[in-house]
Amino acid sequence: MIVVLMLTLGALASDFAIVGATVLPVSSPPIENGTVIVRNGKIAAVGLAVPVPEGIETIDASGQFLMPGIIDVHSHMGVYPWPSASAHGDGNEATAPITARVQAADSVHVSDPAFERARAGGVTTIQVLPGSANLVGGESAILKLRPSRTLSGMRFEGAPRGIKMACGENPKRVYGSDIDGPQTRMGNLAYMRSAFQAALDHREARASHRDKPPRDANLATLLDVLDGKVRVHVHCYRHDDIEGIFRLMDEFGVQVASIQHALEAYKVRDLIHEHGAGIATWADWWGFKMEAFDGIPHNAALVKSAGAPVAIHSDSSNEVQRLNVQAAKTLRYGMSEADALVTITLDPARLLGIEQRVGSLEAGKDADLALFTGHPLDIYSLNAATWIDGELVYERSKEGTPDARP
Amino acid sequence: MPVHDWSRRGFLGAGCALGLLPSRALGSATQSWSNAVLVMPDGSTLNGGLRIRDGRIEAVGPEVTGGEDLGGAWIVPGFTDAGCRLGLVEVGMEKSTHDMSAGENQALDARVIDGFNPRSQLLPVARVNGITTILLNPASDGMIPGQAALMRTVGERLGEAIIEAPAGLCMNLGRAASGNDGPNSRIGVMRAWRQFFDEHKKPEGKKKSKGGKSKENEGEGAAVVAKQLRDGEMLALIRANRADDIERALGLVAEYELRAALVGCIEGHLLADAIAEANVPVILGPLDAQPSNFQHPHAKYENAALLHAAGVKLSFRSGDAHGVRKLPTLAGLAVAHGLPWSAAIQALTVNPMDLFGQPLMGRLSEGAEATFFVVEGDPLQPRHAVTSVYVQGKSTSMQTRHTRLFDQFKELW
Repeated sequence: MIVVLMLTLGALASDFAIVGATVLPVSSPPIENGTVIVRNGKIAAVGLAVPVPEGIETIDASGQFLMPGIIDVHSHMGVYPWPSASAHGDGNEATAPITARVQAADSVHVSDPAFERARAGGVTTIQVLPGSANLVGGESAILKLRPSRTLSGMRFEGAPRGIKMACGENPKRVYGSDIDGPQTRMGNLAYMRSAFQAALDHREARASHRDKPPRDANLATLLDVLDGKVRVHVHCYRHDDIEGIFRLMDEFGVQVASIQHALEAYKVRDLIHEHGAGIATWADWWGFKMEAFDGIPHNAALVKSAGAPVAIHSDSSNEVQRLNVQAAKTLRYGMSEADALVTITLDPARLLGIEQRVGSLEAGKDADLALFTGHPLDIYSLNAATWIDGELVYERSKEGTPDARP
Repeated sequence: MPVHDWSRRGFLGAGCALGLLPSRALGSATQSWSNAVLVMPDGSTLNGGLRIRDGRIEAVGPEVTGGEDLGGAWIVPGFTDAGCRLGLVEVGMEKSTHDMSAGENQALDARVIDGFNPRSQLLPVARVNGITTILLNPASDGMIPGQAALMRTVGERLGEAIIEAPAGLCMNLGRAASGNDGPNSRIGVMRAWRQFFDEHKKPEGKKKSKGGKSKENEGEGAAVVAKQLRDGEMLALIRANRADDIERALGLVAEYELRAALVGCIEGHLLADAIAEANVPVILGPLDAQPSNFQHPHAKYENAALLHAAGVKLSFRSGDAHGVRKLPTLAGLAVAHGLPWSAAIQALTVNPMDLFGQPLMGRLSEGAEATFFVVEGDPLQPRHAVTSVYVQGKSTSMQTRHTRLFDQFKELW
């Protein structure tokens, strides 16, 4: 009794319970007619017969499906904001092959209307990456899609740093006509090797008492990568490019967190698992360039079967709105229903190193929730409501009305 | 069927149109399937079976029994992508694999079939997802990208793939019309369109118009196409996306009495009543168009539902090549956003076939061509796999570049 009384007294106006829905915790089996209790922005309880504390708002979601907020590990929202215009191209600092010092956060247009459309699709966390023009493109920004006037209002506090690297066709195309290159795949890797070596030499020189070189922001960031302080996400398609990246990174003892796009990952899925990396890929994109010509729709399921984390990413301000549909496309190519949901929740959280905070419905995690009108892997289901940190940030029923969130 | 000009159509088009070339060997034996869910021409479903003979449907409905028991799987008429570039491009960023347009702003007599590669590896990928028919269009740059063609996604010879060529003339309004050195604004584009139609005006009475060559860059072929267009023999496929461009397109259709379809029509929902009133069918797509740029800031998922509700007849297009297989899922998305399921199915089957003058295609009905696919369930659900595809009564290969790679790497070696 005393406990109940205390709970009642301690209830915040923002606390609530969602009852009646089929709850898809992702980290455990579905719960029909489950209850999720949210207190102070966190998930307080998830279960079948969880008592709802007195005095908190109860949302009846009977017939609907509640899942963790969707996570997209590869977004360019904000850095290529809508409306697409020549003045809005802020995603590639294509001035040199190594631009480790730049930060996507410094390009993000906080008012990009695409953020709102992604929230409408149940997306709650994204990693905004610089583009793939550069071998080292710069640091990523991990954001929660809170409606906000400020970048700081969108930051995922406490998320590890991430950096974007790229190999294969894009860097050699962008710099192929420059006298210094890189012009080739071997040039790509040689360039990266030289950059990491230069960072180590720089540290050594800075440690000496005489002739200290000036600080260098590029090299400082690369040293953070070498020291394991930054999670490495490498844009890479072809299987031998993936192998080459591991060969290079192993030379420097760098752990790769994820291979991005990874259309030929299925050919070297054992290497990916052994390295301890995961992949982020599309369900069905292929053929848009040579290194995408061997992309097959079985890729995600095959890599998952090898034991590596697999995220379905969007790389698109359009498809991010329907990552649940993209995940559904993997079902017919060998993915289980449970694993398909993991590709847009827990595995992307693992790739970003935020799986203790988000990616599943578990007590203690952030209350990032997506409520779907039907099973999220059904094409006819729509996201009805989205919560971030326990705050209602999207309601489909309010669309087009004055009550809609900005 | 347009009155064909033999000398200009060339042997392929003419042969095909009149059935002179041996087409695909038609399945001759009688074959039947039962215990299936049938998708009917009105967009309804029915439990029953299908019997085919000599490449045509002999019977369809609950009374058909025997043959292969499908155990509740669905039989669906082959889907049509009413606007795509299959066979015109193999690898997106490799220009050496592109044959997508004539490269001129007004290419009236450019034929898309001249760029089509029937052995493209992209075709089977579309077909094994149930897309058996396509309207092949040139890339959309320029005022007149050229002549579209109705094709099958089977065959290794052009003659097997072509159903009807030309099937219409691709025309552009809006900024796309500026491509290939065209007028650099809407003002210039509309001026050029008026000049074009005025130069190809209908002759008064029986008087022949003098001077066949109206423009230096047009050969005789162009004059013939222009005549077909103004006589209504050639379907005008007018691409317009921003609402004001759609209004201008409707204006051209009315003023010059064109037989037309609107293509794209991303902001069509803003003018749904006017489009319905003009009785112009719409080839809609891409269905996931976003308010992402200044050419269609009012794009919304409900576009298909709103146009249908106003009474507009819809077909769907992907506008894609590698992504043609996404079309059924995108149609499902339109359903999620309010389009009746039956209307989505019709937009993928009977509607485009009616538009292109093929009343015996795209439907499970007696006497119609036996072109259909078998799928695990509702064909708009991404989880349902297509298990077999029949074209003109003949089973087609389910092997693709993708299945071959899967087979090669399903076990690591």
